[in-house]
Amino acid sequence: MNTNQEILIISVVQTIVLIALAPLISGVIKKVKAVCQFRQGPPVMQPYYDLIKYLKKDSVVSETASWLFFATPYVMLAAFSLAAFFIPAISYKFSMSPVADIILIFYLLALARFFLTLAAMDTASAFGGMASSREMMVCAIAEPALILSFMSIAITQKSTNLANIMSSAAGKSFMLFSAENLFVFFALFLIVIAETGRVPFDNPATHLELTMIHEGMILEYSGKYLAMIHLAAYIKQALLFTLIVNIFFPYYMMTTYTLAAFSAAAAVFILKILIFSIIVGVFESSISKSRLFQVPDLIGISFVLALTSIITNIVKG
Amino acid sequence: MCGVKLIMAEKTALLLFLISSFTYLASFASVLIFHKNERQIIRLTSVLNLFAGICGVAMAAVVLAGGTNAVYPFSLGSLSEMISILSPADDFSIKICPYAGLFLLIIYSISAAAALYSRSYLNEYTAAHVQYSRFAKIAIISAIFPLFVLAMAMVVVSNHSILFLCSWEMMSLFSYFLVMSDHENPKTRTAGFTYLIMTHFGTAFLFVFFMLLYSHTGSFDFSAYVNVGNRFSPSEMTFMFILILIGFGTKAGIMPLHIWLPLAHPQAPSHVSAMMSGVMVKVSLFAFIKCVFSFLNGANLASGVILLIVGAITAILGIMYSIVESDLKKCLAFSTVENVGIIMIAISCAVILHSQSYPVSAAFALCAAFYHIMAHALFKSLLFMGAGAIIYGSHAKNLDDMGGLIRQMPHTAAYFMAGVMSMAALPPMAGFISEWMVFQSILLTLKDPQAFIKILMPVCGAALALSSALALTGGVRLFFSVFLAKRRNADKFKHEAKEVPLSMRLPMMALAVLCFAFGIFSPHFIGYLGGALNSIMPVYGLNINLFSPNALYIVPVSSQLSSISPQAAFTMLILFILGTIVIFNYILPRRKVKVYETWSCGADINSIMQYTPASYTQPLMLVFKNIYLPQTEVRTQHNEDRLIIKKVDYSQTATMFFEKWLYRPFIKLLIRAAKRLKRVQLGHVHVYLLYIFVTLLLALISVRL
Repeated sequence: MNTNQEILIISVVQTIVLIALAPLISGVIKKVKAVCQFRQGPPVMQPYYDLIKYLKKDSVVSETASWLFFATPYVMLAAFSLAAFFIPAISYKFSMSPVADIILIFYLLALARFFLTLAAMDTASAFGGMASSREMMVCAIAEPALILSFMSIAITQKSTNLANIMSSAAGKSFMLFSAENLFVFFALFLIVIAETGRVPFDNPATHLELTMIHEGMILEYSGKYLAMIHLAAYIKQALLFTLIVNIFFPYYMMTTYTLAAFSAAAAVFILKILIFSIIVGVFESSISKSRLFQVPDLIGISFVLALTSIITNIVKG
Repeated sequence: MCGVKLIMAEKTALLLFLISSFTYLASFASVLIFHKNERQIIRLTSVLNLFAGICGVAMAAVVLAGGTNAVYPFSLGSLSEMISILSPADDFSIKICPYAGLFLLIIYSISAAAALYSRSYLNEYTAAHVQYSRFAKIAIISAIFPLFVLAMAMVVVSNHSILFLCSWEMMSLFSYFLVMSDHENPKTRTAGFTYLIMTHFGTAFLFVFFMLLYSHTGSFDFSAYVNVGNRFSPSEMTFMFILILIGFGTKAGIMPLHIWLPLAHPQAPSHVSAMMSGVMVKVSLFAFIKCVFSFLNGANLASGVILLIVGAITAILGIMYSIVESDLKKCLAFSTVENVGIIMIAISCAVILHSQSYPVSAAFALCAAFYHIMAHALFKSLLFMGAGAIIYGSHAKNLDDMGGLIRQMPHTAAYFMAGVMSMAALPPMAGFISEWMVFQSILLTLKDPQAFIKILMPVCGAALALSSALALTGGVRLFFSVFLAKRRNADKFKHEAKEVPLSMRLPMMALAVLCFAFGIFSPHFIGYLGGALNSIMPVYGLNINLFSPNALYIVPVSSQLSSISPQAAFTMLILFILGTIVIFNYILPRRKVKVYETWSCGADINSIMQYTPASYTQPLMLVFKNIYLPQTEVRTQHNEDRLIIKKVDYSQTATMFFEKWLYRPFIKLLIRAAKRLKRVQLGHVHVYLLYIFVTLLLALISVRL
């Protein structure tokens, strides 16, 4: 029924949709924050204009930079696009997920992080070192909570294969009506916020080097390379949003191989992502950035929530 | 050889084994013969060891592929008469089964790489700055190395407990000699002494274990021990399990018995460090897995839980100490401790699953352990050889004195990067595949309905995730502090760093390529593990879809649970990278790239401004301060007038938990007890005669009773 060719076509189209959509998410979040602060804010399409502007500029590269500094944007962009290729966004029926399960996808993100943190060290800048070191701290404590959350999901849905998780969840009643899934949802929500470098973990809008994590690492990038890294970061954010949205709301996804079904599912997907972006924007407006050494406590909450979810699961049998 | 009918593959295997073993002996003998010329010794032993290693690899490949399972007895009649309890029929025998073949493959391939590597590396010892007994050093390293490899191979093939223990002891002693090669350094002597004590502590438990097995079976032959576990009660079983956990675990470096490992492994010459961390640790895991699954029938649930907890603690603490260490080779040694922990987690999943009657899942978990053993052997020996090359090229040992070497040593940097990526379990390297399999084993164990396992396993999964995230931190920290940015303390060193010669690069390149190949073509390699698995845990006849050499997917038990296809995924990764390069370099219009200095708020940038390895992990040290118990020392130097601060030294070191709270109190207690006991030693002959008389009297009374 669903041949390899169909799967390939859907995955390619879905990757293109996701990449095209990715900057818009940031635009929407910025707009929501602006509205919350009674500002007009930049237009929602601003991230696209920025990318185009960067691409037109020449780049200045540090004299201590080695080949690693130049390779990093390519590896990051490729790793995130590949992850977008594997995550079922529009259809779990036509997806590449037997090739790559959730653990492989997370390790693809780790591959990109490995290169980015090294590139930050490559320029001999103290800011790069500071940001790289902090990124490692946040990711080291976020990783156990993340895996624990997925263990909980794997217990409920009996799989780490994303398509199976989604199809199993789609067949059941609405997931957030059960306690264990509600716990996991909040655990994952915190992790997604941490991984995308948003308030309260990191402030993407800041321009003060001492408080930045992600922005500090890419301080030495400019021109084309900066555009690539920004695009990669947008894709990563879109990926993580897709993941949380599709695991907990895997409804109205494409099940038949027709153009109409695809367009309908794609429209629903874009709508889901945008609604989630608005929620994130409102969440971000309602809290302030926490101190760096309070981050472990926040992630600790996520860890405990995931563990509670597993225990709830066992108690329920 | 006795009249065992040998088929062709077995004949070939035996012949190759003998050729390899005698070549190692010849290599040892050649040092004695050519003891006059150090360069000749280095060249000759390197060639002979390389040849022997290649013969061994061929032999292991024949055994693994052919699935031979033969016992080759050889008679040592005189010894049997000497030791009266050995009956003449109880011959020493060696057994080369596919399971042994797997480990022989690891031993011989890494030692072949190390042999080639040693050819240029040992020249460092002929250099003028090695003053004291430099010739003896080369002779000892060259002479002992082949014997060390041979002893490890004997441990793996021996099929008789006395032969096994002798080989085990030889392996320990030869490695001790190699560790002590730099003996004029007091640190080395401490390391060697600690190693000697700890290894004998562990071996004592093995003696007890094998004596108990003898008392149950009346035989020293390993064949008689198969499934002897059936006769044990559950508590006896757990007791036996703890004996081998301590016995083999000491050599493997499980916490808290690991203390010798980060001391001894770095002190040896780098190619020997590679052998110790990459191979010797695996030999003890070989014996451990064999005893658990072949002799003790996979032990029981309690043993599995003990092993799981020990493994998780070892994994986390190992990597935690690794990321705050400043000595390059010590970092790698602590990472070995971590990886042993991960392997132990996989083995414990196998034990738990096996005891709860899930043989198919247990087989998968054991495969995960095997694959991590192989992956770790590859990348850790690569990293130790890389560390040797870095030290050889830059003359620095400490991470604080390195930096920027990627420009002078581009080849070493590339190979080291492959090793670091594998260590950090990043796709598409071998380390990722094995880590994925361990995660899946943990998920498989969740099938068990018992509530405490359902809670324990996810927590262990989280522990594994933490250790892998910290391994990523450690990998980045190692790579940047050695290779990136600017060199720190450059004025301390007279010479600029230089790339190492080809004979050192070649083995590193081979290992780096293997790290990739074992990642990308992993389903193919896993296909060959079936035979090895079957010789310790009968799995043939079970429905396992893992063991087809032409498989494209790795599937733990059922594809409903999960599956990955490394070939497809990693080919796509490469295609995506190429695609990105094409789009951004050829389709979009090109722009100029200008090289300019790094921005530093207008100040002059220098190497002191960079983050150091210690400052890189300082936030983590603060987050986990309850584990690290950091000791901070701030030294302030003032000017003559004591008003202006001239210099501030800030240092923060982690407290080694077990050293402080377990070993130090124990040693104190020991010394106090010895002081008490000293009163008995009066130094007069007649008192000692009295002691002898009393002892004799007591002995006689006890015999009469």
